[in-house]
Amino acid sequence: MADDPIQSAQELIDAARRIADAGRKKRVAVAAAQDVDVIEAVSQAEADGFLDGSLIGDERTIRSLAEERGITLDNLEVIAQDDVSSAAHRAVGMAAKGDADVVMKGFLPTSALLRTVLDKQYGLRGSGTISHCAVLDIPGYHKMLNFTDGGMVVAPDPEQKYQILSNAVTVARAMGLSPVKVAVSGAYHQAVGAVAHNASDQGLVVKRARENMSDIEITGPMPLDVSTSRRAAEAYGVDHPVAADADIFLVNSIEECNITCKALINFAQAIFCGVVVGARIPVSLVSRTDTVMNKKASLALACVLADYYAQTGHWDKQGGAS
Amino acid sequence: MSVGIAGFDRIRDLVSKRLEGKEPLRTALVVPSSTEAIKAIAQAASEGLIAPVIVGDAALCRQTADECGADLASAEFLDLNQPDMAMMTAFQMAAKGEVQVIVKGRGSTVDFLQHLLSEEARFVKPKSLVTHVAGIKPKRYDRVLFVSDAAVVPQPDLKTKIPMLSNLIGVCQACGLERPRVAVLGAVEVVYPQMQATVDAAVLDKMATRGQIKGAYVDGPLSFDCAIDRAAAEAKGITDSQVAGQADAMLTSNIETANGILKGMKLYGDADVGGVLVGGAVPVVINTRYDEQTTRYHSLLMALAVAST
Repeated sequence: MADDPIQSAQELIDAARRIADAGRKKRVAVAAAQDVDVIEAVSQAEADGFLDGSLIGDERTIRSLAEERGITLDNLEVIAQDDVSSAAHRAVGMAAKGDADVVMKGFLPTSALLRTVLDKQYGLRGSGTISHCAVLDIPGYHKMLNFTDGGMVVAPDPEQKYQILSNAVTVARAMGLSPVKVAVSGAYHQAVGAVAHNASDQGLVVKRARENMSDIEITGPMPLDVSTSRRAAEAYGVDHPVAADADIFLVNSIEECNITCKALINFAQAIFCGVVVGARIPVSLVSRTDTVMNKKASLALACVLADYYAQTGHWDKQGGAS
Repeated sequence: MSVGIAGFDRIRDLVSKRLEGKEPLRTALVVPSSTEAIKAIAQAASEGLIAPVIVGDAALCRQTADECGADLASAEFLDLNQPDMAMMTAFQMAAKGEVQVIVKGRGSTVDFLQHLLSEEARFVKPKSLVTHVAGIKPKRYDRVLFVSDAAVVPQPDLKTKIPMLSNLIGVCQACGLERPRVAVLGAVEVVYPQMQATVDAAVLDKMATRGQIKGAYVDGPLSFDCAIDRAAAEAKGITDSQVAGQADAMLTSNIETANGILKGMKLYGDADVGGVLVGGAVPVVINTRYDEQTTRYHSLLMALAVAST
């Protein structure tokens, strides 16, 4: 758990490094590591000193890809497991035995990796709903903003929305945020007439969160501007602790999350840190288009979250369907 | 590589040229007590683009104009102190052809929209659909992106997306794009039957290919990065698209997505923005309460471009 609230991608990397320096360095097991962008991300994070990496996959391809890009594998463990499915099982098995703290996706479909993570034999099932958190460091906003869910649940029902929120709140706790401030997205800050198409779902989530979660401020619908800009909040006369200070932006659709984040990444130079939450270990995904900073920060986020799980006994308290 | 519209000044030049030797466009400012709206109106009037018609509290408007140094000497005034009455009057004037553009001043957008869409206003013809089109010029993109719909239609089905797309293409053409490149956005650039947005996008794409939707290159589904970044598109194997990497316009599958793009760019994208409502009797400018003169002026330019086409 972070001592001070983490408010930027750099602070996330610093926090992961402090965890390592305190003797709790995390090990990342990469499933089907024959993907040069993934190898590069792990190698750079290792060089930064905040994780150890096990590259599991087609060893020959892993080594030749690394050599082509001039990446040294000296400080990384390479485990030969040519078959993609076996590599996934090996990586997840390491996590199940406590030999790895984070599982990272390599050259295999996300769905295939998640199926393995959720395979009952490993006991890594968590809350039930797996969701993706896109934690953005947006230049001009004074803290990080967690957009969720932009990758896992296509059309969440109220129960899934609550789980998605709960997963995001866990990430916020791991980042040391208190209270956690949640804006439930809406195009307008009032739920009226034709624009209130999802107001009832949102209402349920907000009500349940207020009843069941402590140390949280949640409101909605609230648009992105009122959620993150003092000027906008004042113009609309919105005086709520979440206004202009949101930590989590709970979206209404996968499109909203994905597209808003990509607009901010492409045109506002936002740094993107992504992690898949909901299993008993964080799952890290990076994509080819991510910058080096994005990839490192994503891995750092996964390490910080894994450390939070370990230090707080999070999943033992939560139970889960394992 | 297409040129696109490099900035809002191009739209201004286009409107000026169209209006050469013609009367300026009669533009109603409704519920006028917004300093920034008055300044934008005065600016366009001073450039000879519009003839302002102030519909609302005349004394308050004059006082506000004096305070901010805006010159409304050429304006007509229709003194109506009651905001609801002012709105309905403006909509009815537009329906009768007495004004060619409407600009919303102060007040709630939701309330304004409810009045605009009401039967009593007679502002929307049967079978036409009112939609919002935002113009966004992020510093890091080479052209204005026209994005719909951030303000009116919450969650359109495929049938509704067809007129939305036509409205969007119409605004692009009015702003000077002969054949706009329109991306129908999805979270991904492939079709997944369980993701309705991708299915609808593919259908719209096909309808454009077959000439059922005219006047634009349409490609969908495209993810945001594939729409605006050629390298991202090529990395995904999209090499034969007339849109990918050079989109002029984007249709989103719900209101929050377009709203997220618009607000995100407005706050963090170092962007020039504007927006217009189309599909009613005349184009309408609505702005966010904190929008400054420049944004309101850009919106007005978009409305004038539509009205002068």
